[in-house]
Amino acid sequence: MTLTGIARRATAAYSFEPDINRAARALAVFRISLGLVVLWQAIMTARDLPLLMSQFGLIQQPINEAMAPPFLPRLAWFHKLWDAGLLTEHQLIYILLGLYLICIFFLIAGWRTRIFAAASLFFHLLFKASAASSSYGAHELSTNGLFFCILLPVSSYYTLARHAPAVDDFHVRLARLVLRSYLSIVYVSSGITKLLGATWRNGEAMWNFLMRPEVSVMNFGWLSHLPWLLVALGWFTLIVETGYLLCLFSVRARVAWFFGTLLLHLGIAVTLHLWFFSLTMIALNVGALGGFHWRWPRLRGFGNWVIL
Amino acid sequence: MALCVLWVLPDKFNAPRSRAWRFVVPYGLYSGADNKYAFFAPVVPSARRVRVRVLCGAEWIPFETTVNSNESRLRLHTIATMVMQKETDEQMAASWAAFALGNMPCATAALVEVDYYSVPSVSDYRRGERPDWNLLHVLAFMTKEELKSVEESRQ
Repeated sequence: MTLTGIARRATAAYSFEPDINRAARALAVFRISLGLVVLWQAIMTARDLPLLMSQFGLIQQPINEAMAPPFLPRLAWFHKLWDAGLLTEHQLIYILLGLYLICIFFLIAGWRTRIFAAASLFFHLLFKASAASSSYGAHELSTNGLFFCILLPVSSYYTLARHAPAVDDFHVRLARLVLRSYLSIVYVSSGITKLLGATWRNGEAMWNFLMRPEVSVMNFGWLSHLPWLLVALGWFTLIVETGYLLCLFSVRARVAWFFGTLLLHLGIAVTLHLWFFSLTMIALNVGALGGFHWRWPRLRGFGNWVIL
Repeated sequence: MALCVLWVLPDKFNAPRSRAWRFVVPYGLYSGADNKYAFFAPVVPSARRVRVRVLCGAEWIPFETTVNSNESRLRLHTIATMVMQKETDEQMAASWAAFALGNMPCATAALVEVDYYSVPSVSDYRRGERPDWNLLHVLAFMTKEELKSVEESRQ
């Protein structure tokens, strides 16, 4: 048997994928939802881009330059254009933003997906590196997501292209396995670091989290009278994160962890208002775990639900 | 995927970066594999904020940096956390102060005040203590002209 044959058989055996078409649809929903989240983020910060990344913005360009990792594209690469008087810096920022939005639009539409995912990633990194002092975790996760859109078969469904690529059993299985392995690394590494400290186990971290000033949905001070609930919430977070590994091996665990992570990220979004981060994580989870058949346990009249 | 694991390993495991590592770094940057996914691990840090005041005549006026969306506010918050870090605090605060001085023509000096949010423990909260902002440190800046006039007055 050839090496490719062995890889195909191993992937088929260890991907635990009951329905390939549904898995391919979940990957397509991942592409669309990630694209929408990145588009929304770009539009939300559009008016403040000069403040965040221009030469005389809040944090001056040399500082952003020094903080940005090497090799990444940045606004300063184009400084000759405004040095020569062809464009102002603001005009250039908005031209680049316009190109970025066009690329994301075609990524969402699923037209020449790999090319537009690569172009979206380029502009995403450019805006991230040019405003390095203000970029945060969500930007890193969307970098991952856009990179996956280049490599993985995410345009087999829901695409405006005339001829959507056919669903390839092996590629879809491998893509889902890669996404799940990646998310396992993300969650399990974070979960283990949390487990090593005492604060997440005794509820103290959850208390400090819910009492942060950004949490404006309600005053969680009443939880001081129910310390066991803080401990339970802390352990819920630890179990969702460290237990994510189970999703690699069990189809049933995927259903539970899909809703567990959904709850976790919606909680973060509602309390800390980290919507961009939370929706990016939800999009990644839809791609990795979505596409399962779920039967409502009691109300049979509702029939089967397909979660994408 | 394997490279993702390399980056999440504790520093002691990958401290001696080899020459080969230099070729891996661009891949990590472009794919996002160079991330460490902490998500408030191992502890939830205290919240921070930065306040900027400028001196116009004899009066200290608060300088508000206005943004247009919640997402931009989050990004300002990220900058504020950088003002708290020892390696970057002075440059970040100086830049923020320069921005304030540039936007307020009457301003001759600026104060960048860094506060942290102190949360009492569960038992202290039950006893009546409440979370509060506390001043951590202040960084002062002035325009070149102002600095010159101060130095001349000293001589």
